Amino acid sequence: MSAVLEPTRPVSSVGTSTTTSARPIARRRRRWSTGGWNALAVLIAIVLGFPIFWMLITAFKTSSDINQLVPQFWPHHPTWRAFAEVLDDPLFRDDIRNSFVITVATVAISLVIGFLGALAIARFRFVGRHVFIVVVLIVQMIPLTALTIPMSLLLDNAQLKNTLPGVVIAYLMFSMPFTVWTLRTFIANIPQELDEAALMDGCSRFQVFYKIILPLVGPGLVATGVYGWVLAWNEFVLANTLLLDNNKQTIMVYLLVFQSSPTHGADYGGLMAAATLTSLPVVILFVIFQSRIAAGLTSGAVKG
Amino acid sequence: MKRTVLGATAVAAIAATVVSGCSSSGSNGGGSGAALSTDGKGKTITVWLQSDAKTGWPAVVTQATQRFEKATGAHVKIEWQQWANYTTKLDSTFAGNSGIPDVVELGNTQTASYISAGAFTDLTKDKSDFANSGTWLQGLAESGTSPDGKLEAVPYYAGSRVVIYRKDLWDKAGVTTVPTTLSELNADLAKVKAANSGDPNFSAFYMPGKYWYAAMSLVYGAGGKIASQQGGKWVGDLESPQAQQGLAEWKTLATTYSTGGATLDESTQDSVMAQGHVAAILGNGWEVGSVIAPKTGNPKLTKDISTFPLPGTSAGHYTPSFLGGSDLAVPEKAKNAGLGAEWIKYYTDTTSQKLLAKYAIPNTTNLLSVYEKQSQANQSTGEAAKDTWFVPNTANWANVESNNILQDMLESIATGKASIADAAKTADAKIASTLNSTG
Amino acid sequence: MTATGTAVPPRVERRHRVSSLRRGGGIPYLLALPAVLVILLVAGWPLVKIITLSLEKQQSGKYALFHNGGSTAFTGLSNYADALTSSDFWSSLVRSVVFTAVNVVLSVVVGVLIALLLNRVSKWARLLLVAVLLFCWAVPSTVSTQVFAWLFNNQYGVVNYVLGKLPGLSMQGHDWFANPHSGLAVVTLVVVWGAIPLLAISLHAGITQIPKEVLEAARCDGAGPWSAFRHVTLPFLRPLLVILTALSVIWDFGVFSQIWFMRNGHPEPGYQTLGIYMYTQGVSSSHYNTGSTLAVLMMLCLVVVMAFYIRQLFKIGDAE
Repeated sequence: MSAVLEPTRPVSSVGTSTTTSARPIARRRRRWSTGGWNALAVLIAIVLGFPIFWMLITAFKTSSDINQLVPQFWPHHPTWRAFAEVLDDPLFRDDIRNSFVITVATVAISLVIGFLGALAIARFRFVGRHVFIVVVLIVQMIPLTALTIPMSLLLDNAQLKNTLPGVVIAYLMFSMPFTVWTLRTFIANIPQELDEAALMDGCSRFQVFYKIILPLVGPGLVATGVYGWVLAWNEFVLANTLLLDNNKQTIMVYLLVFQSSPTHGADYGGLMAAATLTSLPVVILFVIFQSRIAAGLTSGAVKG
Repeated sequence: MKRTVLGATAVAAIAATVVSGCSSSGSNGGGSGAALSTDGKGKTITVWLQSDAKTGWPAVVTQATQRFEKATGAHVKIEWQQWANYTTKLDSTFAGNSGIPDVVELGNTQTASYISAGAFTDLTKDKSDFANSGTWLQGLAESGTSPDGKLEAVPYYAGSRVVIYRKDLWDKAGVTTVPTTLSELNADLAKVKAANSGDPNFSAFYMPGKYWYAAMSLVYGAGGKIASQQGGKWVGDLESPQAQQGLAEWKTLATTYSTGGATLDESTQDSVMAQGHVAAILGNGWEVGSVIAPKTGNPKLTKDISTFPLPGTSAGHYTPSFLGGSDLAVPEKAKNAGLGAEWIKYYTDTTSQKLLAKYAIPNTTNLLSVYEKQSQANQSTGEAAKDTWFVPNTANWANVESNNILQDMLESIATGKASIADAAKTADAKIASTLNSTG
Repeated sequence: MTATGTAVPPRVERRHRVSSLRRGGGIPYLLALPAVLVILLVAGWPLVKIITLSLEKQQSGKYALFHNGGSTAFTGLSNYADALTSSDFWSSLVRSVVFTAVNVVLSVVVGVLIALLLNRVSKWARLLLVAVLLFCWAVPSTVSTQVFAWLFNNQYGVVNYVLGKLPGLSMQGHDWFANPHSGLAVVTLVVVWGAIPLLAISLHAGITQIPKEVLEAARCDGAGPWSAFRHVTLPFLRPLLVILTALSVIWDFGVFSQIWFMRNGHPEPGYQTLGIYMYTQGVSSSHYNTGSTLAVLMMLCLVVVMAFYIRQLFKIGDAE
């Protein structure tokens, strides 16, 4: 987190025109108010993080302790049972694997295609440019629940029903527009002078894309990729309808099972344990890529 | 089309071999119906069962599958399903041509709309091949039959609702005998409530505000009904004086004796009861297990839970129970319709149903005694299953459920937002327009 | 930004760069081709199917769906007439608009505030807050809805328990969901809770890009924090804010699972936003013609609302 979320330019003390006596006072005031802001940040973290805390402790509670009339803010009889059962379940492992395959494929393909499309919009003027922009935006407006039957029929005709690639194709529909949009902004922020310099040095147009633009937009690719990951990983409406076999379903469908037949026994501890394990990959991914992500979010999208 | 090619080769294969007993495979399904088939060498059938069986009675599934595989040489692939979004999944699957299972489980209130849409294979010719078809439970059998009398779905299992109560809390309040009429029940509940008046979260009878199965049971018990056909058109009947009487009794339970459940439905009532502040609920037999299971409930209550059928308006009668349950059907587009029907035969025969009787009400009246012998809860639910009611068996009924018409009506009564008469009037109008709508 | 540290009006720079967008002959078409193909195939066909379905009416329920067309009749705009003359449709539309507006405003405002806060705190506080935001983002919406439903439960909810400890406030058995307005407020909490992380982190990254000299200069000129925000920070963040707000409007208008699971699959009439209304009228009751009609109407609403943003996005796009 460090390198990137700090202000990108050093504070220059030269430009300020305060008197020498005022500066220590200003610094003291700033340090005090920073402490105040820190306290506020901690407070906000507690408030926002409380539901997550609740999710975590519920995963460790026995069922008689969950949802007691007097809430238990810490498990009275902590147990690993829920985690052990979920991790032991071969279906859970299969489903995580399926989710992983689908999500990685979706993100990879939409990054490649989105990058190319974003290049077109960001670097060129061409007939149909505005139409392309509007279409990319409109596609995001289609309500997902209305899409289930038509999408299902489309994939069925293409013999892709009940297959992982079929789901990837369906997910491309809503991950790609976002990718094109965001990458366009990042690419637009790379000065065209660099392009021109490279062209004058004898690079072909494609070499410019590959050697100049692509490395500079790297952090942007990572940022878009992680966002696309969250979208694809947490999607369940389409996954539930398109994947028919138990060993092909995704982790979101697995979570639905816990919430499905409560009168046959609602295993809330199991649900929260599975949910925690489901949320972890995204967090781990974020931690690995966090410096590049924030750099990506930083370098893009601010300059007009 | 691929299917006819398969069908042709199958027929040719049958002709070339001698098969005793069952007739040709006829795997082209559809209008001509499918005869049961035992020619399964090298084939795999797909069966969609709800995960209730996986958690409740997996051994029953295994033994039926083993016997089937031995007899036909086919393999069985069970895909476990969940109820959430199930109809959308069925719709999208039946609309296409790939991934269609050979056997599908449906709730008995869901079958009517699929039968009218022609989604299932006609099994009328094979009815006598299914065990106990002469004594199937009426509520289940009705749900599997088309309006013109064709058999489209085979009864699987049933459930009926009884009062599940805390014997220790009732004893402490001085109620030691089970009530035999509704007025006795109300008097008993008043005593239990008075004995626990210090607990603001206590419910003598926890009745969630959206629990339409319970409310309609009381309506039918008072002599009313949900809807009826008059001159070919459906009319809602909840405004009749009998229905209003039933709803009034429900309102008493939901407002006077129940705390905190006005905007909820019955899906969380077991975990609420497990917390210990509820003295009675109306639930299916398996909900007893849900309340006391270590993983999902409170095992400390095991000794204190008992059951009895919901008494009726006069002694000697019970309030009719809703006969819930599931049916099994063979989709019309199934690739192995004959084998699918054969698997259903094994899964619903007397051997399987006798094993199932430990956990759920079997599909035939002549096994009810086996069921009732298994536990106290089974005895009550078996008794309750003898007098049941069912929803109007029409294709559009599923829309009444998915539009939440009854739940909305009951919630407005339980929260006091509408009087019983007004709420019933609104609901009747909506029920009529939903049941009568075309397309 | 020029080297003098004063803020050059951005428009001057923009005009300079317009002319450098080149006509690349066939290259842009080649680049855009994969994206166009994917959109046409994957989104185009279903969209056409949805529109077609909305112009047809099936007899006898699902029969046509299961038997490849069956007896589907082309009925023109009659489905639209039916939808638009139903009072339930209009009340859900109004509800959706209000719900979306509240959610978007709350998400963006809180996102901006947290982004500003992230800029002012020490490193450890920043790390902590970002870590929490990350986890909030990662939790699937069905799970977070379940947790919030527990927290706001009328009998054992933590919220009632904590609020009940305040002197003079009795929250015993207070049912947050009896009144649809307070129930939708709880749903708003879930939606905003899940939306803040992306907004806060992106906006914070945007803020860190503002050159320090500009802010210092503004402060030297006597600008208070609010004025600095309005005249320095906000113009810098404008493109990012426009994009994020536009996307928030689209996403919040289509909110479905939070409302659905909060009401356990049976949303009362007071909770029916357009997305829920479309689902109960169309999908869950298998009336796919009605459902498609409502879907098209939803999209038209969004296009109308987004007309303003689309123009803004063109302006930003053209300025490159």
